[in-house]
Amino acid sequence: MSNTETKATFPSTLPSVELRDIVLRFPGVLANDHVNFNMYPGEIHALLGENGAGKSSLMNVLIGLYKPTSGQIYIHGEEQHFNSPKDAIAKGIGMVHQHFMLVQNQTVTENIILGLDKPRFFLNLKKYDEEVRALAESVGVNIDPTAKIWQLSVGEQQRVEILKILYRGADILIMDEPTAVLAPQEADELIDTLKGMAAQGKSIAFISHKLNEVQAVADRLTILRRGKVTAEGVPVEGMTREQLATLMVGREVILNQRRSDKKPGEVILTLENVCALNNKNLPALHNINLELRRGEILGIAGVAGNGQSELVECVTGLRSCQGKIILNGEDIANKSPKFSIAQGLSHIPEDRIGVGSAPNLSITKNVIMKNYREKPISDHWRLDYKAAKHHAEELKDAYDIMAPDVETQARKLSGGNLQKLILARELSSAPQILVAMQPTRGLDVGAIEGVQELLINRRDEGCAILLVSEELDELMRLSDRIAVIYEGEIVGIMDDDEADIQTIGLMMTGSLRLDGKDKQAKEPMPPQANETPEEKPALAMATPIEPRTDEVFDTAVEERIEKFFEEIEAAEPEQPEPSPETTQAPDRPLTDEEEKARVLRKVLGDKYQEDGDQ
Amino acid sequence: MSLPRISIVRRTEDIPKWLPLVTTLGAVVLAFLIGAIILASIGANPLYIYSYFFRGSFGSLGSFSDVMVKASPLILIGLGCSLAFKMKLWNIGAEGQFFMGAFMASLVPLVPLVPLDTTPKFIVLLMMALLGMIGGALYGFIPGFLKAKFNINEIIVTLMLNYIVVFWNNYWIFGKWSDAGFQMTKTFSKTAWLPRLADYATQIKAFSGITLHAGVLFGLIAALIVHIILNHSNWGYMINLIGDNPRAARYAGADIAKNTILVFMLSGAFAGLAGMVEVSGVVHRLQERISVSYGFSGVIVAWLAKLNPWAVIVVSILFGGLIVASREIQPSGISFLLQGIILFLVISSDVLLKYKFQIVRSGKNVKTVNEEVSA
Repeated sequence: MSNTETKATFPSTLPSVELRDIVLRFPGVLANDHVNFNMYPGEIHALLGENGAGKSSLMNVLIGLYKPTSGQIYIHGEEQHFNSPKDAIAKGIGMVHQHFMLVQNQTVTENIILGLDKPRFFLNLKKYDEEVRALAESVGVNIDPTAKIWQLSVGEQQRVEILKILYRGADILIMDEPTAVLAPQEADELIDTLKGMAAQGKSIAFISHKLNEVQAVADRLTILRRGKVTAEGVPVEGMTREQLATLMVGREVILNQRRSDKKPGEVILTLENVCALNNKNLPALHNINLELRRGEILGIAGVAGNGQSELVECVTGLRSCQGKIILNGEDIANKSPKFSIAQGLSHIPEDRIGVGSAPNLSITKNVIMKNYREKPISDHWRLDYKAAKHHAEELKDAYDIMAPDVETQARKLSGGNLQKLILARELSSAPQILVAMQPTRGLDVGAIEGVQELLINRRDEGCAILLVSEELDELMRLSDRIAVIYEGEIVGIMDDDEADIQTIGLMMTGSLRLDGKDKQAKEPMPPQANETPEEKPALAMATPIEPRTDEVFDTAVEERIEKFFEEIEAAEPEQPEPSPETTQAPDRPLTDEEEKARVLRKVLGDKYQEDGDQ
Repeated sequence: MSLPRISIVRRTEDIPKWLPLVTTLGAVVLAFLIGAIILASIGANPLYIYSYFFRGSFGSLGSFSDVMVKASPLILIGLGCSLAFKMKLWNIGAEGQFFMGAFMASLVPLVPLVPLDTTPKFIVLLMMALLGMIGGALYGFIPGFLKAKFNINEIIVTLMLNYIVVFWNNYWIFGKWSDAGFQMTKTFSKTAWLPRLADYATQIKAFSGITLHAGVLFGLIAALIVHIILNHSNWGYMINLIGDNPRAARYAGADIAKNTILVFMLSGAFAGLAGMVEVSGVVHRLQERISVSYGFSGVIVAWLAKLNPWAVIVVSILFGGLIVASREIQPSGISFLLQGIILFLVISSDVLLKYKFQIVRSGKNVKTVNEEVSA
């Protein structure tokens, strides 16, 4: 639906939202510099920009969270002065934030009506369940109003957030990087939902970094760079990704990067039969065997929640495990993180705020987190803050961390700058091995490029890198080899030349194994009907294991993992010679459509059951 | 909407360095103003009472020395709590650690552990100080260990331990060491007394009757030590890091369990030393009432001082003054009333650090109070 059609379909040519000449000034920062932005009913309008370009600030002006220094806000042609988000909600504006604000132990309906005046005293939930169901159907969203939030997948929780806004009568929706938390299939569903809502006349502002999504979903787009508009309400059609990227970052972004032309060196890290439990004390890793060489990037591909976090935590000493993890000839399994840090292991954690930084401490105190015991920052017991500050200033310049000074608290940094801080800390120690998990997630194109460049430079200097990412493009671009993880097992390792996205995609979804232990091939499979029963026994066996205290945990891990997998094997008798042919052909060849449907159901089905299991 | 109104906006910029000091002092002043209103409402003259207050606590060398005597244990306890709170360990068991320190220190003169006639005073006092610190540290070890190993809530554990030690002490005071059936032990031998200024009255006349004892020096030295730990040492950096984000600290290689126990023990050791100071410097015996809830006031002191060791000294002196003043005024509850109002307002004044108040006039641009001040 293009802009002109919009105007044709909806007779009013009045924009639903018009922001005129918005200036938003914080002390020392000009967040928005005379920004214009408009949206028409029935339109999806993408807002693109780097981290800190002023997208969120602009939208916070629109929802009444910030008061602009100057400029006007018109909603359906009327000038507004919002003093709080309440005023904005009253005008039909709602925002879905990246982090959901839902009560885990309440139902979908309860969450949606929470905070409203209407059910005054008696809570006739059934009536509201019906209302919510009707509302959901009207926008083509499939959700059970009586389900508790914790039972829902992330994608479903997001739908609840959307319904919450719609229930309050919003016709202007702001989606703040809605796909950042979603699996690819869920993202596709979301895009369909958004398009459906636009077709009903809603205006949707879609904040994103991902160019392909913007192309898939938006009618027009506005691009911000350093608080200024570089493209105002341009139709998406006819723009290439390169053009968009240029408008965003102001220079040509190299979207293709090369792999190493050098031969990788000797093996530095070996994982032998590593098994581990997840936080719910369920088996998360099963007999992982991997080798990592100097001067190579080994990519780990997989759908989120298949054991990547646990794998990284085992290697970095944050999680106890069975088996051997040998770094430079030393077994680092179950040793403290301090030990592996001393062995030259750096770690870029997945959770930058929760694990990678101390939010209320200064940049200085954050960059010395790992080397504060070393000279010149430390002398025996004494910590020399002057030396530390000097070190921090050097890193701030070298890694281009944008902040007023090194005394700035880490929580005041934008996502991209926080990641630069972490990279500065982890890479400046000249690590022998680097474990990086989702190093570019949530970053904008320019920052992604920078991070990838840093990784490649380290690799070329001989550092061994274990790169865990959910972005297949990124893995394909950077990795020298790619290992695919599925349900806690490495289902295959490929060199870059044999790897292609289709093969990896099939392996990630459990449809293909290259390690000669193909489970799919083991049983004759009339797929659709038997799919669920096949999954259930595993989970049924998993649940009776009761949560135990940490002490018991250590001793019983191996036993329980063995028992668990024995039972699985008993349920699925091993077939001696699985051959590649049987891999994708259970008992009759599946059509492409069926295959796709099966894969999707399997991926999402697992997720649902896993979530519901806690 | 023609009237200007005030809206509250979250601060997005860094706060100026002087602001916390100003808001804290402002809160204290406001507390005295509110106290004045209350006093006036019951028919008293607040100005007269406050001047009496002031004279009673800071008016002469003698009364100021009394204030410092009350402040000494508060300083030590406040410092111990600051250290623990920096790591977000909520040690509210200083009262118990104080009593345990007092008990252990009392062992030296009461058992006696050394012959009191022949051992030099210096050695006796050193032993008492060490045993006091060990007592407090051991009593801090229990919640620290339980927290580190089993993640048991330290607030509950420390709170409960406070009651246990009171009964433990009572057993000895009422029974074994009772002084002729009274609920106290016999007075310690003079060797076990901390030197007071009054002891030197023969040399310097002005010192006669001045009760200030050497324990206040412990407080000052301890403040220096805590300052060095927190601001100039590796360990202090780690305490800060663990306090701000334990997951990041673990990721950076810190041993959280070990540090939890260590910090708890050191925090307890300070409180234990305070107990020693009190029995050796003031009451000179072990008895049931050796603390005017120093342990709990110390928690408040640490909080009001925003965990800054030097501020702990200042706040302790203020609180010491209030304790002394409460002797001068009837009902003595007035000074506790003031303590309560001060605590309430100082903690509330944090709002000013997180938010700013804006005057909104319809149709006009927003002007912040701060801008108006600077303009």
